[in-house]
Amino acid sequence: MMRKIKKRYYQIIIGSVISALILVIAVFGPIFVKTDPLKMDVMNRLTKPCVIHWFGTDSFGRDLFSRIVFGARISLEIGITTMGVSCILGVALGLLAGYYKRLDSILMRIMDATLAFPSILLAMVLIATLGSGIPNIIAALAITNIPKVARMTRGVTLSVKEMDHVEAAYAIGVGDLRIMVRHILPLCLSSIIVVLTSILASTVLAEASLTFLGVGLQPDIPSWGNIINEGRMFLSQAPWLTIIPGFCIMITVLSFNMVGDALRDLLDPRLREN
Amino acid sequence: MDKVLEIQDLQVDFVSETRRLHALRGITFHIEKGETLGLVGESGCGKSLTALSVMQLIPTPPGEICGGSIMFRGRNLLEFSEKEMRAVRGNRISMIFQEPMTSLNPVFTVGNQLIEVIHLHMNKTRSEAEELAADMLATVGMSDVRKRLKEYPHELSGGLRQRVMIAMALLCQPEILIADEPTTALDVTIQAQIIDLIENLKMQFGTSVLMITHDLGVIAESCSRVAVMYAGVIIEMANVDELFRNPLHPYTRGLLSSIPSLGKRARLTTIKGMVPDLSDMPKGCAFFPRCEYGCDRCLEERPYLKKSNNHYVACWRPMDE
Amino acid sequence: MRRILGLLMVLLIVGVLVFTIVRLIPGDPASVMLGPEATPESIEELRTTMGLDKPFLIQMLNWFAKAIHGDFGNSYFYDMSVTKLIISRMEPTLLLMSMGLLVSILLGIPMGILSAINHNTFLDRLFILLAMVGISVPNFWLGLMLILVFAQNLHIFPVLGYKLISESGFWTSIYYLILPAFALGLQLASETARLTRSSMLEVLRSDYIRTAKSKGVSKFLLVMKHAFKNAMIPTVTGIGLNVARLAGGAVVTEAVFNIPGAGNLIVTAISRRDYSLIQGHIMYVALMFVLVNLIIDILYKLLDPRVTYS
Repeated sequence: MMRKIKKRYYQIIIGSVISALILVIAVFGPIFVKTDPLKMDVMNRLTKPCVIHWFGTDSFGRDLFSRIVFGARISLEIGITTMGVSCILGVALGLLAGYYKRLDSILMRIMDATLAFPSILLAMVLIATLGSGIPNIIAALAITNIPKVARMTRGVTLSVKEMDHVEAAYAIGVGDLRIMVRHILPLCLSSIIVVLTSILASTVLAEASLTFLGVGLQPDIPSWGNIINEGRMFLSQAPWLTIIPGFCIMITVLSFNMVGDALRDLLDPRLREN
Repeated sequence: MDKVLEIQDLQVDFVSETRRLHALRGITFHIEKGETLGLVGESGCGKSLTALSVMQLIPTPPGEICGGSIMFRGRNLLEFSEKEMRAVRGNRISMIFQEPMTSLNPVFTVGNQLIEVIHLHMNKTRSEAEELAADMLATVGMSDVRKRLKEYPHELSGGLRQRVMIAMALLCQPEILIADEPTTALDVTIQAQIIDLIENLKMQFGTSVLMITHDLGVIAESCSRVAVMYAGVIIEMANVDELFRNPLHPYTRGLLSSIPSLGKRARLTTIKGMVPDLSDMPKGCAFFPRCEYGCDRCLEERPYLKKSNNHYVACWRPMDE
Repeated sequence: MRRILGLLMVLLIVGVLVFTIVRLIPGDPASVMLGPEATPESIEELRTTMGLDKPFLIQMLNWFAKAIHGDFGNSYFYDMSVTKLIISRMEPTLLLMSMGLLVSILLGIPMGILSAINHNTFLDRLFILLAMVGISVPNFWLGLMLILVFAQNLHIFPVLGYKLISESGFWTSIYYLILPAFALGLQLASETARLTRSSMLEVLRSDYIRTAKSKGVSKFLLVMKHAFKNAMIPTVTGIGLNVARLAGGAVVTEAVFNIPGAGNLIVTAISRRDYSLIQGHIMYVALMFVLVNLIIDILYKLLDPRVTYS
């Protein structure tokens, strides 16, 4: 195990450091950033990055740096919550599907149908149904991600179900729920963790895309997607308005992916050895 | 005595980030023209590795040939360039492997894989190649050859696949055929057929065979001479009859006596102890820890092969009767 | 056969789900159509004309009955048959998606193969890093960056928009779509590269590769003939699964580059509560996936002779 960690040394270090940094910025940044992200200062619109405004200002004169910091909080808020919801519901559904055969065929058909669909379209329709606002976006994105988690959990459940210790528990009369939680679930954990990091990464991307399209968060909220959308009109005059937030999205998602990749390398083969 | 292959003091190491393991520690033997030489030993003693070294098929990042020579037709194979080796493989020296199930490419037909060898080394048209392939399949004892050519490996049984492998190996009429545990993965009844087949083909094409196995029964059936390997070295080499009758090395004795015999009801004899780990090889004779007849010299010095009457043995205290 | 039935089932489920969800969208198309000035009576009248007053189940059955014939009714806003509308917008979208797919294959597969043969060297590590960056880049941002560099600054490509083939010919249309195709395809290219690399690595470790080498096959042929076909089996499946992402990406890309395609269509449809258009559109998308899935299955059978179908 230690050898594997050494091989992926750089990836884990860089990935975790950046992820942690972003988390810190997201949580504590808004507290420390003095400038108000919503304050308009039309006299100073579209200024280049300088000492006063580290990232410059947008078309309304709002400080880009503080907007991005606040945007980080929003993106991560949505990302982590979606991850949590997908995890809980997805694992539950997956366990049930793997455990009860009859439930399996119905559930899996629906999951397959959902998975075969472009998630953005699905999310758009769901958001249109539920309305915009952060909780609804989280719900919509969670719904698009639940099938992934469910499918994976179901797979592990199916293979674990036949194992001796599960059969033994069943034989001595342990209740179904207990079996699922105490015996099957722990073995799914490593795969779940890997899927979760990828969900986090893809949710940040998805939220940005949806907001950019105008379907996600309201335009006044300083989400990264919104910032890019607004900056788009001034692409030639003030390219930094588009370059910087997009770059931030990329770095964030990249660091999550790096951690997820490294985790997968460490955890998965071990699961197979089991 | 016409030697068709002569290996002298072959040394192969496995190098990892942390250490260097000596897998083959000075292998010396030769194959005479037209004979079947058996190479016998326990799993892990290096038999397959020796074979792969001849063909230079060892994956070279971890593996490394660091000493010795392999003389073939007057030249040292270890000095061949990759291009020269390619001309040798499948053409002058062929190899068949242990697992017929996975040794054939599942996405190409049998015919395709056979014809490939022909196109690689011989100058034939497409139809000539097909004829050759069909003939060869018939020679190895397959029926319905035209149909077989169009089939995929997964449509054939294990025994049939091994026949295809043999056919593939002999298409260019190589001088040496290396058979690495060709029957280990097959049913007992098929085993005998395959061994017979190899023997017949050997005589038909004048090929010399290196038969690698851990099964002494196969040795008895098919080989004229045999070399016994232990922990990366050859410890005894003689004609088969001579070896069975008069094993000189304690290890060979142990091997032969551990074969259960029909009719006798007695406890199975085993050799106590285990094969030493590659990273923990004893300084002197590798077999010393398990040997009942060891002496001080065995502990310090590694014995080398000594010859007496065509019977080679590497032991300080060979058991002469 | 069983496969086709399964896929039809998927279509059915998608249909039901779409119909239900769309009906749940708050806001009534009739009132949106008539505007805020409309009287309750006119709204009621329009609703009756549109059949919105009938019970839910009846509406659904009606819709399915017509849908099987390809009649998805008329778009509420464009006042055209949904089918016609979608078809008219299909050209740029299909072209864009095909080009995006092409980009992803032409970039991804060679990258994956090179990575695998040069396992653990600098090149391999570089490609792995590039691939990871590739899947982390938001594709709308990539599109904007491409516009910034190539269109606005270097003036190589047009900034926005699209010209129909009928207008200025095939190659002009392609010209307009090159930048968008790259923005669309890069993410998929990275995924494909990773997939190709891992399946290639696994295949190269197989026994049959060793056998081929023992026959004297050259390194080039080992990789390109013996290993390639085997490694493509999981790769093609993976690409097939990712075609859905291509469609989703197309929606975003069309928005960025102002391409009047089918993707753009649905975004506006949703904001206008154009029920029939949304439903029809999604059903067509689902149909497209069913077809793509079938094609992937056929490709699979061509690649891997071990597969049999009932």
